[in-house]
Amino acid sequence: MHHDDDAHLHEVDADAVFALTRPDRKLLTLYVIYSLMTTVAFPFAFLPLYFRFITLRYRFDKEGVAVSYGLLWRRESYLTFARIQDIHVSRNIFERWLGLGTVQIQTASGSASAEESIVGVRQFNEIRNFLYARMRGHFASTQPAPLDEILAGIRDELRAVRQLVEERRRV
Amino acid sequence: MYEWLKRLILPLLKVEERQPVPPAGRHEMFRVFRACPAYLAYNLLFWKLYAVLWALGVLAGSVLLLVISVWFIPLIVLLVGIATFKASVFYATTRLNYDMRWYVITERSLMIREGVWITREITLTFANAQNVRVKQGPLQRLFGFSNVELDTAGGGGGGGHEGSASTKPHHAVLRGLDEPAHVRDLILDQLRRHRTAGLGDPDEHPALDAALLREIRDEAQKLRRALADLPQG
Repeated sequence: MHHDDDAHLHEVDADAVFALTRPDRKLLTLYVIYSLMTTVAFPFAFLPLYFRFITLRYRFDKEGVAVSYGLLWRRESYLTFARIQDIHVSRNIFERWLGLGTVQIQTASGSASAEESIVGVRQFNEIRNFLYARMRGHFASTQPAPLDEILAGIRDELRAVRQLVEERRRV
Repeated sequence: MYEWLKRLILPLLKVEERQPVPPAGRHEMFRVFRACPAYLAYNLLFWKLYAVLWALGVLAGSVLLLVISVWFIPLIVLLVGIATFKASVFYATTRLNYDMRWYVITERSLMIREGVWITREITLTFANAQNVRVKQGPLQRLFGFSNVELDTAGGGGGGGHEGSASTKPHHAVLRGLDEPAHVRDLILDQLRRHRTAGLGDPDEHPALDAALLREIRDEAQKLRRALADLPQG
């Protein structure tokens, strides 16, 4: 189990996240459980989920993350880290038993559901930390803003120059 | 009794009990909030209503069945058993839901962890926040707590009942706060530090070159000195 108490203390292990391309094998177990819950509809529920599992791919790069799946109807979505609004990590009881988690990423689009879901991963905490370190607003307040001070300095200097010149004129 | 039950159930539920830590980086400010006891009392009120209704229903049903025949006794026992079980599960979930509720506020981000059956962790940065609301219903007013809600940019939601409102996208709810104004002000203070629209590219501010500006200032300074040294007339 990945329960990292000091996750906030050490650097985010970016390489581990970049290396992630497939969901955990246990996701298939999870899909079997979901499908079993539909009882008689099991084959109909399981087949799409099975194909989703075997085609599901994740790709993390420097700017964003892509999720693709689908056998006949393929879909691939890509979103940039800088556009992330909020990150939801949700785990239902089956996911917790299997040690999995779902990371849902929201951008500022109008859709009600998550723009991208990274399902069936053990490294949900790492991914959350990874995304958090790259999402918008993370560095905004960490950078000091001395620019105002400098600009005020320029203004004061110029004002002093003007006053000097005015004094000389009067003489 | 509850504590004992909790020890028994928690390993089965595999819920993380510790407070959540905001990921990555040092934090100038780090505040942890929890729902107030009044929030638990408020939720337990619903449990009490539920329990009373069930008790009345089972009692009425039992009397009715006993009037018809004594042979219904096993059925009555089963009914009472089911009712008791449902009521205790409801009770345990209410208590656990209160215990498993965490709000963490840092100078950059807000993090909420909640849930028993489904655990959810919401992480968002204040740079993305759009508005803050304090909400209080009449019953909540009676108990003396409020909810603080925070929206990020982007629509959605709409549907979904009140109970799951805190899990809607672009929406975070800090439930059951007895000092909502304090938390709201704390969040607003952080929001004021980010004067952008809460949308768009990471570099909305044109990147000013500090070195260049410093040069301008130094130039102006030299100009003033030169002028001061200028011979009169």
